[in-house]
Amino acid sequence: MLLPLSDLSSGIGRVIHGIAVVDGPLFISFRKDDYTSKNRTVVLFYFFIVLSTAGFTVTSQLTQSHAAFSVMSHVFREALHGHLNGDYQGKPNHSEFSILQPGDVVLCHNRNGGYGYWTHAVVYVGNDMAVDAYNFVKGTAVYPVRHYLHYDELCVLRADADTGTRRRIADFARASVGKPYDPFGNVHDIHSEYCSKLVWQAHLAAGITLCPATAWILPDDLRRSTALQLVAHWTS
Amino acid sequence: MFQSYLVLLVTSFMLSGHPHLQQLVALVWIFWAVCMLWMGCKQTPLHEKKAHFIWMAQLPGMVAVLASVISQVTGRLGEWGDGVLEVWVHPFMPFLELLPPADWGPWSDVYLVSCVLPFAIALLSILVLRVLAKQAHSNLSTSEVHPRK
Repeated sequence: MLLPLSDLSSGIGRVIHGIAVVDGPLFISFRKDDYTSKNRTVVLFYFFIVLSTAGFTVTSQLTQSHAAFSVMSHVFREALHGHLNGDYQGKPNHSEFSILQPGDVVLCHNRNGGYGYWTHAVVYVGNDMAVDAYNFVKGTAVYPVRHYLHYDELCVLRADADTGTRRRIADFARASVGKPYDPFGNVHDIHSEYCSKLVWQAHLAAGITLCPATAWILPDDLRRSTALQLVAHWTS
Repeated sequence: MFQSYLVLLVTSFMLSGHPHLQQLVALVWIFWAVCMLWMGCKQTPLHEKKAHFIWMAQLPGMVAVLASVISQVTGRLGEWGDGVLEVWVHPFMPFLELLPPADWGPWSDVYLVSCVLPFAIALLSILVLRVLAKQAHSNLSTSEVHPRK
């Protein structure tokens, strides 16, 4: 796969940036009595890295990467507290899962989520089951839909499409069961999933573009999509 | 080894969304690590005990594995162990994602391999250092037997 030149240069810049950020102290800590000709080459190499990093860093920060870094720092902060899905308040929501149809998107909300109001997204695939990609231990897996009673709030979104198209959404989600969970994966990479990426890819496979392919697809992006209609909204 | 792994981690996260570049960086790190071990063996006298401490570069990953397994088995410690482990093995995720989808009970194959990875890297580091040290020793012995005139 050929990368666009902008992505390639951004990627190379990021590599150099990463090396310089962590190895900068090495450059500073060289002792004078180690200053052999070999070390001189290494010192010059590090100097070049630090100097060239400045230009790449400014460029990458001014691009869409900045939004991704902002979300990433948010996610890391919540991950260190052991949760990304927010804090469940303990009262089940009053959902009526009988209205669900295969291909429906269920968004879940808990307070103090790591990346927006809606903290999780799953695809309903029929027979009271939903496909879910949020757990590093289990990967993409199937769960009974009643599992989602234990969120503070749920809403159901449905693609504005015929039944056949929505069945294809459900089929894609079912076929994704077993894929690993990787919240840092490329949105076009089909080898791994995370919750909202699964929803986005499933709809894309059925010919529906829910939102632009940004660095990270978030559940809030799905809620804002004009291709999905709000069917129901339940609270605890 | 620990510092170079941190460099690998940072660059891997910088390259999130570019799995081929991530794979390249991981392979470069493996090559770099072997080269650094080789240069270390050549420049300093071998101390057997050094090989026993090289595994500590993977200690954070090992602790994360322990915390994750404890949280799975006992339900305690929350999910931070899973999160830290996922971050620690992130450089190798583009390779782990190529594993065929499979479950071993409640655990995915990617998770199980991730649990093994820090220990495997530590063990490989020790083995590689021992092999390179023996090679460096034998080269040194050969030059002592046949000194240059």
